[in-house]
Amino acid sequence: MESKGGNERVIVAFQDSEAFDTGLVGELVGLFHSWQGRIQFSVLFGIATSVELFQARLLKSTARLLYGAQFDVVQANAVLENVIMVAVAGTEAKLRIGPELLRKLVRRQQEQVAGVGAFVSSLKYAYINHFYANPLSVLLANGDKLDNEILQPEHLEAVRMLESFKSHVELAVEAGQLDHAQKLLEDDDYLRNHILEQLPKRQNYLKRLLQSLALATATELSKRSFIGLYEAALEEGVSLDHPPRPFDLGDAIKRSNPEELIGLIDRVMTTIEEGNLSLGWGGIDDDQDAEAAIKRFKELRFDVERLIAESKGKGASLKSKYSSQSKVLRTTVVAQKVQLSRDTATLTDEDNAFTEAIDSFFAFVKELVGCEPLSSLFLHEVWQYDYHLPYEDVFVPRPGGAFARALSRPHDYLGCACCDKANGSLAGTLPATSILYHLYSEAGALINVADLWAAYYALVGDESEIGMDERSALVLFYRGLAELRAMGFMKQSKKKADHIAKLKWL
Amino acid sequence: MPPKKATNLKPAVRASRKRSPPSDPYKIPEEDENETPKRRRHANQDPEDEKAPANEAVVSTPSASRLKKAVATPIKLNGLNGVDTPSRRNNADRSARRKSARALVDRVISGAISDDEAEEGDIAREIYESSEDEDNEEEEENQHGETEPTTPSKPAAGRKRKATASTTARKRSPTPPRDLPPHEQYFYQNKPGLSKTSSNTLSSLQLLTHDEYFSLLRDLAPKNPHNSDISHLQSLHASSFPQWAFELSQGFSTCLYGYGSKRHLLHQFATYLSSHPPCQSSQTNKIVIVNGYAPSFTTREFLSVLSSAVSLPICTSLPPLLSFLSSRPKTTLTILLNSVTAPPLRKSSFQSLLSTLASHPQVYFCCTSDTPDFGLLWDSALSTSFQFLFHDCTTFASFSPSELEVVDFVHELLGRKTRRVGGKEGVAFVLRSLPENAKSLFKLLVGEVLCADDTGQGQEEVAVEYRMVYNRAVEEFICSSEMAFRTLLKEFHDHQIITSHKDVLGTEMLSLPFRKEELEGILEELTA
Repeated sequence: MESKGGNERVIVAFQDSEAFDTGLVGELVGLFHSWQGRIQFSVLFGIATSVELFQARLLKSTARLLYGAQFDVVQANAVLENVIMVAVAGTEAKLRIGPELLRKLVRRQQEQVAGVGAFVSSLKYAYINHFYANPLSVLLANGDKLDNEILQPEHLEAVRMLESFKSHVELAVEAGQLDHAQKLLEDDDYLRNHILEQLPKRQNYLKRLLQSLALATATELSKRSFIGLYEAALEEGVSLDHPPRPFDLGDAIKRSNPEELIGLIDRVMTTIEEGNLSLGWGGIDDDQDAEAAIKRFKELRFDVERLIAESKGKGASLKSKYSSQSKVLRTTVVAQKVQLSRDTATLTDEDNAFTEAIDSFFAFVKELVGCEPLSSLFLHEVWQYDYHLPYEDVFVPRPGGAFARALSRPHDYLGCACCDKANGSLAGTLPATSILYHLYSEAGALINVADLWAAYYALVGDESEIGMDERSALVLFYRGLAELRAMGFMKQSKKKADHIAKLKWL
Repeated sequence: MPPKKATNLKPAVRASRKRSPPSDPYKIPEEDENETPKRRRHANQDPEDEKAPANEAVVSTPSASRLKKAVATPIKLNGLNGVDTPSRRNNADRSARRKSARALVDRVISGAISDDEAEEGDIAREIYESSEDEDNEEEEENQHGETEPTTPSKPAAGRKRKATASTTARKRSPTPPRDLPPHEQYFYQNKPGLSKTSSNTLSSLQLLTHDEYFSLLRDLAPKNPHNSDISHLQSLHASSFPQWAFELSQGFSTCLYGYGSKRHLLHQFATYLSSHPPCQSSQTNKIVIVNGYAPSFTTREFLSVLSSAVSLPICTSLPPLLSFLSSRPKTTLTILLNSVTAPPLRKSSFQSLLSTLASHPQVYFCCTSDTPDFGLLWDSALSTSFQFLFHDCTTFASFSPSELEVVDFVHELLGRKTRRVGGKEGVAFVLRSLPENAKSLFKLLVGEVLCADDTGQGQEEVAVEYRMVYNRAVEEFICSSEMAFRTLLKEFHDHQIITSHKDVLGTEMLSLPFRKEELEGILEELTA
């Protein structure tokens, strides 16, 4: 229970009201009520079940004292989706978070129940990493600012190393543009101009991507969440054609009945005109295109409405050849016996016209929805960040593994010549703590320090290659033991004299 | 149910169990399944033939193997600490033996063996044979009766297990399996009966004194063959300073973990930050390095140092400090904390104070952790406000004496007296400077702890209830109020001659950090 004090109002919050003693709640509410004249009390209950159940638990007299309002908690997933729409997918996002990293981030949110704050700082760190570690991120600057001073020859050299540059040149060679390819490879100025040309292309790509996504979500027919669609769009591109893809909307559109189709057309038209606010995409901004598209959709809508009216006049329901109702199961009752007969409904002229309308709608939508995967773009490395390892290292560390590795294979960190041969096994040249750790991990749950010392001394003592005298070895032994204890590996055991108990299994 | 024939045959089988095992019991499971029943039948048909060599086997084969074992690991001969109820166990074993014998006989009589049954027969035979081993061993033990006064069944069971393991086809190797995942290893090593260690002690070894430790260390430290590698590693870490400073400036906190002392590294980082502050150029940055490993660390002191760093009149609570910072946007504070997992810092109240500090926009926070368990310090709310970025900073650098009191630490681990506590002499010295009633209170405490030690045998640490001691002290007119009692205890706490903690139920418990013999010595001295 937490309370916030104010001059006039006291807010008392009960987290997890189900776990609270009902009698106590009743008394408290009564007490608050009796003070109502002087102090304003607001009581906030966290209810995991339902308001009705909560009310049923309270006494009637208590319930009467409460004047309630219900606030629904927004689902964490919905919050996350909103954040992603604006900050990851939206036009404002300068950097595209790649599908792999995005998937990891979302999974961490869902599995570790981290708050949205954790997601935001992960996002921030991805930006930091990109701009800190990728020198080509400078190309994201506006074209005017990219003069010779900023864009150094080293940058151009680095661009020529990129995967996307290679595939771009290869494509050019295949297409027979040998001159273009050669200039890209040799002429710095040509390459520089070509790089500057990418900015509008990038913006076009982004528009196309967001348009596809906005329209695909506007149909409300996809089974996947927006996040899933976005990941797929970056990874595989958007295309309505191929059935196994996530953007497989064709069947769903074709199966819709006339009323649904009108709803669909309406939604698509609004999206074309107004865009999607959360994505920061303002609709198709080329007026001519937008008008043409709207005109086509309006005509289509008019046709469909006319067909509905006509078929209503004839007393039949409008259907297309795709709808499952084209086959009808007919039941006839003859002398108290039910007869079933299958009957393929013949399509009327209106039905055929409606089928055509659906087909043309799908064709329109297909024209508007569709884009390439991000990785097919020239210079996509500059504005896509898709490395999950730095993220995992920094946010989800594995300290146990790091300690175990340092102690069991010091060579990995020290790179010293002497411990090279040990390669993860025991050797006298290892640091004392490391030797003790090896012995420690071989021992059982209870360790005799006298035996530990004997084993240690056998490795580094007079008769070994190291040849240390007993007292010096003992000093190092002491230090190793103390360090292991400080790291929480062992504690004193009173079961036997000079014994220690193992505490960690890394 | 076994058919009648079997019951008729039972005495014969029993006899063979007692005295005439098959000539070579250890080979059977390795042999072909089809062969075994024949041998069995043979053994049952004419037991008389088998008797003579069987007896020999009883005497020679197992004892030889057992002797070998005994030589290799002498622990087991005198390590008889098992507590078990032998009679019940034996009874259970007997009936299992009887059943398995019966099953074997049945099989032999009916003659036919299907594939499933073969498997079953294996188990039965194993039980049967293991009991034979045990019989032999029991005999052996009786022979060795003089050297081993008690023969509880548990060590015998262990021995039997090993004996069969080395011989039967199903290998149960006594050496621990390697490369198990950590959790499997935990369960393997905590198996009851597995924790057998020798009873060697360090009594023959002269333990190090502080003086000897430090004088030897002074000679040893420059000779460490890894010195150059360690400094190279440190320089690698130092190359990430700009990155860490940038991360700090972006509102993240950093946590450096990994094996080795990071004190020097953090110091270097502080030097770097003083010339490249993470704040904007218009702001002034104050750097505070806090040594969490210092045993005398207190929150009060920590806050007063922070407030003096930002030139605020000394304050010992957080809100004024934060509001002071907020009112002065030109001042920023960088806190570099050594050993965030040190015992005095582990309290959740301190960690939440730290997180509140770290979440302030003008405070940059960087800490190091010397243990791998730092993740447990922060729940999700705390880690959200910390906004930690973790970096692996394994340095391999050795800990300085102020970070780690090696000799005391090891002696504490071994249960020896340490310098800090001062042992018996230390107590006498402390008590000499205290008033009379403090002496009598300590005497009372020692008496109570010894009393509790006598009654509650086998406990890890003997502690007495705070309330009970207080009541006794009042009864004996040592003190009249709880206030006075607390003052006396505080004196003991300051000299570290008592320790207190809360048990699982939340009752305050007092205990003395001495071994029983030492306590007895102290009591003698006090009563004298």
